[in-house]
Amino acid sequence: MNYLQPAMLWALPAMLIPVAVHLLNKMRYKNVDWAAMHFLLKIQKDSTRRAKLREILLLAARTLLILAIVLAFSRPISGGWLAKAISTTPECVIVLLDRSSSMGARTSINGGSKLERALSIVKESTAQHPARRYVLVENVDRQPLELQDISGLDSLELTVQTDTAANIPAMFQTAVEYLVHNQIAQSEIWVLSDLQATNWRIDDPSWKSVSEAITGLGQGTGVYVIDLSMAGAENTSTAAISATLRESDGYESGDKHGSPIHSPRASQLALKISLNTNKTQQHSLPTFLTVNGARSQSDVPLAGQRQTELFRLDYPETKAGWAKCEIPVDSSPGDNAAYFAWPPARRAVATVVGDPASASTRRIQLAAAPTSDSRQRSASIIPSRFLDSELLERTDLLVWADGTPSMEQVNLIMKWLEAGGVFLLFPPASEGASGLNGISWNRIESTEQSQPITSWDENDGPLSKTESGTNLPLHQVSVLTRQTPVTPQNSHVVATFSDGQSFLTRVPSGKGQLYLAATRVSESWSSLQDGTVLVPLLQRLLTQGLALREPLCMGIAGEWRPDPDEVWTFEPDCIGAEDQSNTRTRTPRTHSGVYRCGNRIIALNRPPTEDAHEAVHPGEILGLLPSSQTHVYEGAIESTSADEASEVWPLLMGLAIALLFSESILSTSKLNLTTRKPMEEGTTRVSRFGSVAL
Amino acid sequence: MQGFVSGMHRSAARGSSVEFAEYRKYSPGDDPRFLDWRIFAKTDRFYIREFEADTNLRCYIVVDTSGSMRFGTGTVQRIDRAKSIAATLAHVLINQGDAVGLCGIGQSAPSDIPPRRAAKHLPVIYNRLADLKAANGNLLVSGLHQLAERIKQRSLVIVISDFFDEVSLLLECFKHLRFKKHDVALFHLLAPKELTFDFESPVNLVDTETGASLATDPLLLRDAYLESLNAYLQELRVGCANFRIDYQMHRLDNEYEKLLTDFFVSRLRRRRSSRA
Repeated sequence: MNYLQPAMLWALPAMLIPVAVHLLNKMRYKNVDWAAMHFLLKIQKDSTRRAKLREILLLAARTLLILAIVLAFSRPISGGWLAKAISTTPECVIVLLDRSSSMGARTSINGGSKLERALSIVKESTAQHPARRYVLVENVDRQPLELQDISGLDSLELTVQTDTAANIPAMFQTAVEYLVHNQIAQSEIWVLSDLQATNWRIDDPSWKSVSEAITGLGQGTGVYVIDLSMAGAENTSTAAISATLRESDGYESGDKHGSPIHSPRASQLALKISLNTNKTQQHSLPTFLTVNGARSQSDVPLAGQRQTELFRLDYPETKAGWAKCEIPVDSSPGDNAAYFAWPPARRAVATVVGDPASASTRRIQLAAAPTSDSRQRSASIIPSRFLDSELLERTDLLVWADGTPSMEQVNLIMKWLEAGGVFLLFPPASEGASGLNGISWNRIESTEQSQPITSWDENDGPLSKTESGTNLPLHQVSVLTRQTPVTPQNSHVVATFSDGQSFLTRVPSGKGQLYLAATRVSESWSSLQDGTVLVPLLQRLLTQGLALREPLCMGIAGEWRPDPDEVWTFEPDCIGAEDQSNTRTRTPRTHSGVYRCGNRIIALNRPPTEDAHEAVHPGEILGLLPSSQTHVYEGAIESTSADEASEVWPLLMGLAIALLFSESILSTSKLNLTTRKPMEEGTTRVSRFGSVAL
Repeated sequence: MQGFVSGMHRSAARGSSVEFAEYRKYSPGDDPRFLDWRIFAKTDRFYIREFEADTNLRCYIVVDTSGSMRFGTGTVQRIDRAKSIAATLAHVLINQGDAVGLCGIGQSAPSDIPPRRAAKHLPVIYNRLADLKAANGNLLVSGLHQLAERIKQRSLVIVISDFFDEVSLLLECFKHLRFKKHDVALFHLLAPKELTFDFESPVNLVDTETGASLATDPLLLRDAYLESLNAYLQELRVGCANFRIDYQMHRLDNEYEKLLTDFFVSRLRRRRSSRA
């Protein structure tokens, strides 16, 4: 219990007054001779007990009455975290404000957000308990900002809702460094967060140093975490996965007679989104697509709580553009929009290094670019000696079909991979190190029985299911000869044989990806030459290489950092008219949306981690920080006012009135007794025994 | 009453007064002088004429001298009022020719003065009354039983006391006295405070007989006390009525002349009603 007027507590000894009066009253008992003790002794037992009880009740009522009045005048604070926090006046209060995307969640469509609630808590608390200094640390800049006027907190740009993630341990680190640097002993750290697990990062090693630093600051430093987590609200979210602009081959799906229609220069825009919902009753979701400012609507059938949806749109141009996908606003408005941008369409280029006269090399070329005059993709075969940096610069997919690159070529390829692109390496047919990123090859294994491919990543990557949901026929691939690679630890096995050996392995290399196949496109090695697996594999790798080498068009708000010299402006058409007034505060560092810089365009979305609603448990927080100095309080929007810090003097005054009333009843009970008419000589008294003439 | 001389009190026995009482059938052994020959001539049956016997009164005035008799009002103690009543009764009775004795029942041994009707007996009674002190014990019940055994002739026994004892025990005493053919009259002296229990502040009540104390808030005890007192008075009064005992309650703050007047009047009415 804490008090706004603690000086009034000096009046507490007044509680002894009734006790003293009681004792004095005891001493004032007069000795009176009494003859009719005979009757009193009969009733003494019960009456004395009642008398003592009455005395105790009276004494308690009078003592508590004074206590309640004194406490009421001392204005105690109770029922919330503030009461705990203001036990001493801190020199400095550091407010760690989580204004990540998830803090925009509301209890209802028209309700306030968690961030608004957080700001309200800070304002109310500081109004009731002014400290000497307030410092704000928010999750975007993570720089301590000393506040001159805490009442204007909600008008600061640094307290506006963002579409970013938060790094809570880093914010703590900033706060602790500030306290240590300024040598502040009496301080409090107020953390206002929804405890989203992805932001609190309980596995982050910096928590240890933060905890040690807070412990080192001493018991004068307290951490007060205001838990704004809120479970159970219905929510549907959407997120952007990819935007792909494909230039048409000139032949589209066909007319009503099934004949292909030649429409040169036509392009197709593919927008892929993910939908997550915790609603069980919803069967379809209205979805609004805005492509370069043109808005359309469609209903998406919902098949489950998580699904991926692909929108194919005819796109008459080949230049860059942007799109936005919206779903109806719900309790968490921050996750109801996804932004897309794409670069101008260009042809994907595959280079196959091998013998031009080899049938297997030719098959690989055809699989990568089935039509030689395609505007979408092209593939060429070159002997390994012709590979140079200029050629690599034009290449999106490099396929090494035969032999191993020289050390000089390895250097060129690694440099190329660092900048993007996909490199597919078939077995060299010789054992030993490849020189590529610590990769070496095992010996060749040949069997008469085909080694089946039993497992592969069918959800993601080059062997994933088709858009119609059909698996690639990898189980039909017959592999008679194989040479498995030895890969570094950061590699990812895409597909494996039945004995666990890898069929296809991916090794990340800078922005690029290196794929290692365990068999060749050769009749003596495998049936890959049939094309049922080889064609989609190479097509997808070429598309991936193209995407990796494209300039960045889609990024994460808060994480993407433009060059300091560049000026990126917000695309106002990508938000609704009701939000146009806020465009001034929208920057690539803080908000999702579409931004332009000259001809370049980028779509920024909230971090995917913000869609993970798991919250850390308060017990875990006490495990991260010194438990003796850390307190976690509920401050969620749905919490009642009883959970908030509030003055309890009205309650105490009510109690005082009740005690006064009780005291008066106990005291005036004697009036009822004395009103009884005394017995007179010759009168008749009615008793429970009947009438008696005296 | 039965005395050795003729008095003004109607006796319970049939006597030789001039006042006819009743006829009754002759039985062998009856004095033939009282045969009514006229009735015999009319009915051929023997009837005896009986007359009221007027006799003098033998009265024992019993004064309770237990410790509780010290209690009273601010000006009058119960023992003083008891002495006054006893002295007045003795004076009236001796002046009308009745014999009066005195018995003080208290802690000390009973101090009896046998009944005498001589005028010079009155100062003896007065002196003995003056010597009576309210002691600390309560021996009323045992004292009355002893008295019932001691008195050989039928008498009027007037008991002046506060009767603060178990009603059942008291009624046993009265029954004992009645069994011995004594006429019994009670003067129940009560102080106003004993009837109202109207203390304004907490008090430490000290028993006048045992010295035991009880510190209490009378306001809390008052209801229960009055209820208990009321039950006691009712039981006592009903018991007295059952045993045909005169019962007079007297508040010490009232004048006792009226009490005595009422007592005598009630005795006179009783006599007339029984004659009628």
